[in-house]
Amino acid sequence: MSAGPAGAALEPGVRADPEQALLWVDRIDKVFRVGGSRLRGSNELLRAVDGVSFDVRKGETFGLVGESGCGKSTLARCILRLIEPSGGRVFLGGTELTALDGGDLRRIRRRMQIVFQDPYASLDPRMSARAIVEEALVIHGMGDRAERGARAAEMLALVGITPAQILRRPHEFSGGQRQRIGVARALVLNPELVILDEPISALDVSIQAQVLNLLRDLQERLGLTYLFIVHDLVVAEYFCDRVAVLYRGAVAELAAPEQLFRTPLHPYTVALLSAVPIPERSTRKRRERIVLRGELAPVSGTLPGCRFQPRCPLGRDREVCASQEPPLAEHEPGHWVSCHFPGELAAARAASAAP
Amino acid sequence: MSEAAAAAAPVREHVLEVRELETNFYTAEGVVRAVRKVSLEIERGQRIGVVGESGSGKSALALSILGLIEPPGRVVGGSVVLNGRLISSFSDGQMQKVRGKEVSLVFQDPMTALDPVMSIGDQIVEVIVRHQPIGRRAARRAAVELLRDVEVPNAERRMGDYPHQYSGGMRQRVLIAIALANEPDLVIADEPTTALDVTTQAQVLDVLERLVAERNTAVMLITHNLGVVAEFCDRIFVMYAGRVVEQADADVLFARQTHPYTEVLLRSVLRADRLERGPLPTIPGFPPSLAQLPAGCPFEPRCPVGHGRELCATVVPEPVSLGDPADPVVVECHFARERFDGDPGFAVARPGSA
Repeated sequence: MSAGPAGAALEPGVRADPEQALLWVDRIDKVFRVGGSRLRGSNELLRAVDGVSFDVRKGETFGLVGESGCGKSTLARCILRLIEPSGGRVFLGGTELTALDGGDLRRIRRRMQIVFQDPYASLDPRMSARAIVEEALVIHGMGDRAERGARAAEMLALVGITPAQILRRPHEFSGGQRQRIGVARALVLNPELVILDEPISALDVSIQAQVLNLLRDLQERLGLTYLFIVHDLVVAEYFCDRVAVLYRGAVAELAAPEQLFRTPLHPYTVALLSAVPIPERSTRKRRERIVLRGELAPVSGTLPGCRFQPRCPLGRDREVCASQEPPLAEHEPGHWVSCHFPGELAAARAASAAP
Repeated sequence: MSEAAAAAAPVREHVLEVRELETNFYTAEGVVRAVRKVSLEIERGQRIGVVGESGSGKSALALSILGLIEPPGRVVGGSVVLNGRLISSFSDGQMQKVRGKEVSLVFQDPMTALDPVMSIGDQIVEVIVRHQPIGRRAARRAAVELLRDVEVPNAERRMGDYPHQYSGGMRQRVLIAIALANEPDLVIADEPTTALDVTTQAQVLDVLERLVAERNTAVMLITHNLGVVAEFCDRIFVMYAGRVVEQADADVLFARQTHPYTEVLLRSVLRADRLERGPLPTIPGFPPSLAQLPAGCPFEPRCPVGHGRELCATVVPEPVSLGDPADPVVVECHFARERFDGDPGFAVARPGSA
């Protein structure tokens, strides 16, 4: 089984069609210098994001999935240019963000907002809920005082914070309510693209469901496009239209959830899925879990082969995996994978599970 | 089970017996009743799971058992018996001899539980020599062996490293090594994998599972993750508002939830194998403030079965034992029997089925 036409110009998942793509990320790199001391400087390079490309279509929810250190949050910050990418380009609705600066960049930022993970740390404890939401309007010089207040109250009502509560400060709200305030703050500017950076990870399960329902409801009502960064695979499967699995700064696999979770092709995706504990007791008490050895750490320098090879149950002893980096190729329509032996691990597991 | 069979069954030996344990926190907002007369027991080698959402009292329960509640909190009632000794009457000095030896604790956050300026090796050696009459050389050998047990690569060489030189998953495994250093009878693990990624969580649970099985160590695993308890535990205790509202054998509990809270909690967990595109089932409202508990059942305001019933709103339900008397399901709900028997009049409505 080949990974795709060799040598063909494979631009992973990218259709740079401004009619369809609201966001286009083109071969983004982010390299950090690490180690050394402040005086001596450092020449060790850490490739946190390594040539990632994808597009996000209008109205869809695109999931970036991966474990800590895989580069997903760095990538999001590069897209917003909260940190500067080392290379590559980002387009929002046909405008190249990576070519803008100063006032132009500030103006376009209004069209893309972010909701952070931690509803405790991301809200100013001295400000009321209304003032927190209003602040964005002030920064972007929108409306007069009365208009801003009304708009903030309207936005807070939309996320379920009542007029009686809007003058309260963050500590007077529960975790779920605080996250709702974070959502209202992001949406008050009428953005087209909302980056959701682990918006429910810090919440209890019953509250997670409330916030996910709210986000989906708002998406339908306001026609929002989401870039959803999440480590929880099940949440990604439930919530996203397409999902990219990141491993060590690069896309390992990219597909619609039906494809990605039902027929995962990359061994890393298979291992990740097998590691998720399921709240159920079956007669086979434990499912066959693949316990990966070793650690996920960003790569310093460049590996000649596949970045997953040192931990891969499939490629650990294979010459091609150690020496050649597999390209991200379209294995089936819409299902992209970066592996020399796509689907082999899942097939082996299915064969051994059969009676 | 027949009476003859019950009589022939071996007497179960309890490592831990907690009776009516009660802990309050005296705060500016009033008395927060974090643990409200909780009773539980753990058999030798048994793995129990204590599940609940934030503020349900599960961590306060663990700290109360270990005598680690600090002001403004205080254990105000009940007893804790460990290996037949009433440790709840022990002085701080006596408890220090018990903790780390007979019972040990694995915290959620290894970075705060480890001393940042002491090498990993020294921290393990310290725990061993404090409780065992052996020299530092022998303790060092034991420490290397422990690091190998928890699968730290190059254990010998990494003894001299400091916590920041270890990854998150490895630090958590070091905490497990420290907890097991003196072969305790019971390990209390409070959210030991919550801060970890799923593949790292799988590694850590794997190590913990193998080591406690080898040593026949009992484990009390405290977590909000129902998937983790399903894979790891024999018996489950569900906490809500400072009480154990349902306890049952894990197989029984995952097959059928008798308390409505347990049922809606399990249903609100997203599961890959039963995803629907519609809105997720949620539990309306929030848990009650432990400083201002409702007059009746603490779950009544949010309960799909009991909300609006006068009995539920006014009378606190007593625990009811159901099923196999040797391994009962114990539930605090006025309609526990009806629900256990599958009476459709007391079922939680399925979304979309109304």
